Amino acid sequence: MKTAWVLLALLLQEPPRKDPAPAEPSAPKEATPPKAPPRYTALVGGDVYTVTRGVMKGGTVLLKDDRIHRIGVALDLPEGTTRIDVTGKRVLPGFIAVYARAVGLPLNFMNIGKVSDAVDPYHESIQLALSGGLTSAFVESGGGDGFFGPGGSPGPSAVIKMSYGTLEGMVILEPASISLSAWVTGGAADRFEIRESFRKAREYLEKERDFETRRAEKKLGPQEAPPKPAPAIENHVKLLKGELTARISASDASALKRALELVGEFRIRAVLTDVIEGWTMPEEIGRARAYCTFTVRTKEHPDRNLARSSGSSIEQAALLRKAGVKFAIVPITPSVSTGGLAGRDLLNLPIEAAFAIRGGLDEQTALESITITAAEICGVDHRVGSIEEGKDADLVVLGGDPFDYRTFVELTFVNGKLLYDKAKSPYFSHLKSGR
Amino acid sequence: VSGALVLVLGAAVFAQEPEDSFAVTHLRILTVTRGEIDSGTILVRGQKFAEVGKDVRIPEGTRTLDARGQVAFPGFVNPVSRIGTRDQSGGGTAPTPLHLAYDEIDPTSEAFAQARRSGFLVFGVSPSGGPVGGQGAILWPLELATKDRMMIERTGFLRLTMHSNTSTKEALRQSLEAARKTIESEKKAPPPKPDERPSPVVRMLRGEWPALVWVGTAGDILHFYQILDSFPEFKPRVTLVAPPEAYKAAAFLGERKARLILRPELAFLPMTRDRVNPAAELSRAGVTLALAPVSDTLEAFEEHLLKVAELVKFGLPRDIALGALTLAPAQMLGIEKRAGSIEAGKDANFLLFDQDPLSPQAHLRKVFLLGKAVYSEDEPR
Repeated sequence: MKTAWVLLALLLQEPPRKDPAPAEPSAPKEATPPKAPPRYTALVGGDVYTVTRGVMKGGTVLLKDDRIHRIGVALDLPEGTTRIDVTGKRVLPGFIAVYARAVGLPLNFMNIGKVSDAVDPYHESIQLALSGGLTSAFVESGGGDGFFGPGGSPGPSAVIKMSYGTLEGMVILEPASISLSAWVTGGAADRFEIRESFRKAREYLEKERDFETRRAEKKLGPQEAPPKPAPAIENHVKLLKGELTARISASDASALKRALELVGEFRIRAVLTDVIEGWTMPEEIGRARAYCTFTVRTKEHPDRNLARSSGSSIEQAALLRKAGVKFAIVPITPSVSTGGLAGRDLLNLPIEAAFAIRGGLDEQTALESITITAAEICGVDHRVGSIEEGKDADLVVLGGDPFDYRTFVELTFVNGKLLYDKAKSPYFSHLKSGR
Repeated sequence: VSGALVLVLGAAVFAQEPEDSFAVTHLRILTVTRGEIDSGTILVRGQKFAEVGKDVRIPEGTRTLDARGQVAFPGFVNPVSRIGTRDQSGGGTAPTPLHLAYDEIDPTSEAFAQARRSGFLVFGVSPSGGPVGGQGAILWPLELATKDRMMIERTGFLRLTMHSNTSTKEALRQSLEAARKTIESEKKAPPPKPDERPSPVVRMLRGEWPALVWVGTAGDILHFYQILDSFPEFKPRVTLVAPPEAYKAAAFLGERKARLILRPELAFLPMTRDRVNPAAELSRAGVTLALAPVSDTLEAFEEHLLKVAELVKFGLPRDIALGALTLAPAQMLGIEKRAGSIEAGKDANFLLFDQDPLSPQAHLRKVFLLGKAVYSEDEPR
């Protein structure tokens, strides 16, 4: 009997390979490490602000490895779950910055190539960002729009997580967006070039459709390969397919109108950034289904020479909301520093959103503007931005109301790992707000 | 007749050399590998330690130095040096695996004398260069010697440099990929010319040559291992040359039992005045450490021990610190069989201090390199 089993085992065994097959360049070889048992963490007893599905009072969020596993009241916790009591506190999805500078990346002017080859998971900005509850951010290498002044060309962009200490799961989308600001700031030649790229991209899409049709009808030539876009129009093809967003810096009404011409002509997913006079034309922006990003506290005086409305308005967020425009709010300084306790940088994203509430915006939309809508603008809302089963376990625990200036972030989780604990922070553990 | 005389003399010199022995007695010996010996004896024969211990029988007629009260310590090993080279920084991202540090070395450089009188008796000299910078030399700072006499290994290790950017990572990845292909094709069919020297990157991947990898930030360490981990069938002997902030990656490095060379410096917790001891943090995490002087100047050599002592004062275990000056760097360079400790059979490179070497009052009294006294404090400098 025993011999039979041995024989069977021998038969079932794979035949020994003579030579290892040549591997694809840089393809990681298949490793078979012993599978670790799942790691469960439960945040128990807090008010869970799911953002997309209301608030659950005294709920439990159960994390399994790097994902949100279950949400509920009085959940049965699997054996070995790390239980964290957050009674009386609020559990929110981690905040998301639609634009960050020098976060997770050294601030340099050199060509670093891809963001994923340059991110520094030990960068001090990440520790600080975590202390502000930031868990994901859109970053650009180089400096991005406006850094070199108008016409400066931003480097490659990506959405990264504040996964301190590990490259694993740090970059979640690259490229994340391309800049078409030249359409607004540039001259006729720039606009001609952009239009040409889109024309070529459309031509390519024709070819691709033709190929698919003939494939469906089985009319392909022998060994006919599917068409491939030229590198110069690769991103434009993605834009036309809706797989990528375009960012267009447009502050005043004339720039906004110009940007909307482009959006209308090519029907692309567009993010209008640095918006100031959007409040003067919310319906137009809404009809183009364009997203907006702006700083609520930007001050711009109206131009008395203009017949139309101009300048900044604290009501911009509320007015855009009424017209159905989706937007994300960015702070005055899109970076992090310990000098930002007054609430002017990415450490205090909710404070900037609170000013939108002061201008008439409802709290729910204000919360969305720094979580789920910000995620949507970055193209990562299927992963982050709300507390839902199956989404990434990126969470913050707050000591109080998110929009109260006295509220501190107490815990921050990224990919299911507790990466910030205020009680142990060398920078913030000593701070206690007055009540 | 004169020809015969030369022959006889030559034979006499040749025969005498292995007999050229001496003993140093009543020493406190910090052997590094076998603990401390009180009132011990070092017996040197030729260029090697013949016997080390408490009860060493000294053959009659052996020159004997009574060094009562003095402390013997192995010669320092500096694994990351550019000593004796004309300092040119390597540029570009093109791999240059065939460049030799040997070619950059000037044997008449005054720096070698400064090294001897500071107790640095073995150097790993790195070539300048980019991602795959070239081949390092391992040498003794001998006096009035030809370059070839100074060499322990003319080519002994590979220098790599890691920066977190796409071009550097691609250059490194492609070099490793090419080496992997060579190794795989050689498995199928042996090379047509078996005596042809394999490329340095191939030798590194096979583990024949150590690699010293320069990193600029803690993040570079993760990017380097990301590339290395895509070649899991190879286990190269890698040592990182890292900045103080490498302590941030202590857990990651400890898990990998990594080897690391640091400058003996304390750091600050970012944006605070709180002290961090990178060496202590890394050592506690399980990283093997070597401590190298901050530069190749006399000042850096002479203050090195004080700086190492400061690390011990702030929490680095003393035995780890002593090993980080000697045995650990010897292992990183792959020469631990002949250097890094006071043991019978190893090269007789040792130092005599008038008290514990980590004491701020300690003076280096005598330096022996390959069994020869090369410096004595009593002599004018």
